[in-house]
Amino acid sequence: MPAQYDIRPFRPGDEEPILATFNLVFGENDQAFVPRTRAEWDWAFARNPAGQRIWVAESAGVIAAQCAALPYRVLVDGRETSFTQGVDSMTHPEHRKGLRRPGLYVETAYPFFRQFGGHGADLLHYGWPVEAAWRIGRVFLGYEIVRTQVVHALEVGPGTHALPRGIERLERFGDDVEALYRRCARSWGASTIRDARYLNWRFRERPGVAYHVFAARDAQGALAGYAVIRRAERPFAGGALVMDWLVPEDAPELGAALREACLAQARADGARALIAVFPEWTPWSERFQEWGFRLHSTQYLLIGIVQDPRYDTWWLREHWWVQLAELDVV
Amino acid sequence: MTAFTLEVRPFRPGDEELLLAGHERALRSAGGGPARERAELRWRYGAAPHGACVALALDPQGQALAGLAATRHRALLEGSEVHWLEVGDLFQDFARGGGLARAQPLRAAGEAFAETFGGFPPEKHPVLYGLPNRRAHRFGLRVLEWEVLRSENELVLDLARALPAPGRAVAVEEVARFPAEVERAFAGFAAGRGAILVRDAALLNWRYAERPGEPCAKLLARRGGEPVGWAVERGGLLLDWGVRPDDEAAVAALLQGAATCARRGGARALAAVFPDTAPEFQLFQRLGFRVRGTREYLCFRSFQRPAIMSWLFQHWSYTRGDTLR
Repeated sequence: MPAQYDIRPFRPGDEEPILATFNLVFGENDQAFVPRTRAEWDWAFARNPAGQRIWVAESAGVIAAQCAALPYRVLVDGRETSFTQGVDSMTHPEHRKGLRRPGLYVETAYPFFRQFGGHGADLLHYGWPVEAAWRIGRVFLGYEIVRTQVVHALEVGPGTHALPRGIERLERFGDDVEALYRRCARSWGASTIRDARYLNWRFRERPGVAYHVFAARDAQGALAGYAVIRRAERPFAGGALVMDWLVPEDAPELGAALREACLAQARADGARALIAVFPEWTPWSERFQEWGFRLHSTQYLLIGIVQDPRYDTWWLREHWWVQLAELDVV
Repeated sequence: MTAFTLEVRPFRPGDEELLLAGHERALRSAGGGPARERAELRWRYGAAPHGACVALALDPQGQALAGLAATRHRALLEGSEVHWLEVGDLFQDFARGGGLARAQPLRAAGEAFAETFGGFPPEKHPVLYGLPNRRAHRFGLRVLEWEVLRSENELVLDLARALPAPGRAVAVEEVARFPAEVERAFAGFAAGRGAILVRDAALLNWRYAERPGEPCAKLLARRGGEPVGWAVERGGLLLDWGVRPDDEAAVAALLQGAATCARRGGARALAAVFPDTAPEFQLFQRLGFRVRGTREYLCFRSFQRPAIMSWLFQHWSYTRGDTLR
């Protein structure tokens, strides 16, 4: 007898069945896969300060498919709205033939986008899909490429493990970070709002990941710039990833000090390369190249479904300040 | 509903008039934009070494309501010779018709074009590609099954920077036309590249010696009389480039030559386009070029494996001259 599916929004009690399907699906062909814990799921989906976006297809208590996203509060042309990052797209192996084309995942995604998409809802749904998800999304959901992603990379090399003068480690973000964000965001058309609540959730409350936050203060003691870094084998082996870079464009010396702090930490962590991601249009892209970073190709596509007719992928490519902070897998 | 008939066929003399008039109406309905020149259209499609293809939606008076035109190029795809199509024009008079029907002539022309010319070689073309403007990009992706291959970056050299000394082993000459023997240099350059347009003298001379407008500087590098590479520069743009990336002397000599030509023309920078997967992307950064964004998306439609997006992304080697605007 064919399976019956209840395609519906998330409801309390779905957490453990979602986790079970997630760990089955993403561990399928990946020997290095580490099962996700309930604490990690709660952090991402229950405690995200910007909310929750999940639809599931349930069959006899099993989560057969999921369309989910992590929302972010963003400023677009000075107005507050939201972007969502598509995450954890999945169909349970025993349900992959559960519905005819377009398939169970797409059937779960359609009501997701009806609820959260469209003018006045989430302005952009974006992601960095694997190729199979990209193909499905392009054909059935309207994915378009914002950017084929290149990364800045510098071999770490020998040197000091000590932090430069004037750079401190930040244990928690304070309220002064928002003033720094507002100053930096003046030249950006779109960006995730970097306030203490978001940044502490993203970098200080995430279970199982150690992020190093380096900061500098001005003469009055206010936050003048920060960089966040972590060691990771994904998406690039041997990498230390600059997760977030918030430094005013007119402060290259401060940027150089934070770069040195990142390099010192990368050395201490045994990383081979320091890797950063910048939009092409920011002066930081060129400045990092002047500092010796080289741009390298990747297989990653930054894709989007733009849900406001005033914007498109061309505009996003030229105006959206996006960092690895807005990518859940790191 | 706007009445129209389709003509889908090889380009023939006189089509430039249909394209030009169609473009002008399309520009008026779009509120302006860069105009096309008759001589440019005649050259691009009428004089191309391997011909060109068009699909036109004609009204009862024989005027083009919409159209699509592409130039045929020899290409190597995993060592096999095929022909690709470079789409250079796509237009629609949006003042005719209303609502969804407005785009119907262009949709019909685009679909008929793909059906007629896209497909397996030798009769058909496994890949069509182009650098669409924003409007054509939107239409192509949503209606004509185009895909983005790459958000294009360029490599830019500040001409005040020092370049590696060229040495004496390789001589670079500026030529009026490329000789037939340039294809021997192409064979060395193309080795190991999965997909590439064939740079024979016919293509290079058509593209860079015969194109109306500002002339290009055409450079040929020889070692002991044997061609080892070429470069084409115009207005600070490195339009074409072909030299084995491990031939350091030839790379240095050609780059010095291209920089000299760019300076002579008043340029302060030299800009090149290579895929970020090509060896030149790292090579040029090592030589002092910096990567900058452009406003371009390279788009394509594939009709044959292995030329799907991920394969083409990794294996297609091109320069700015492959997508002349």
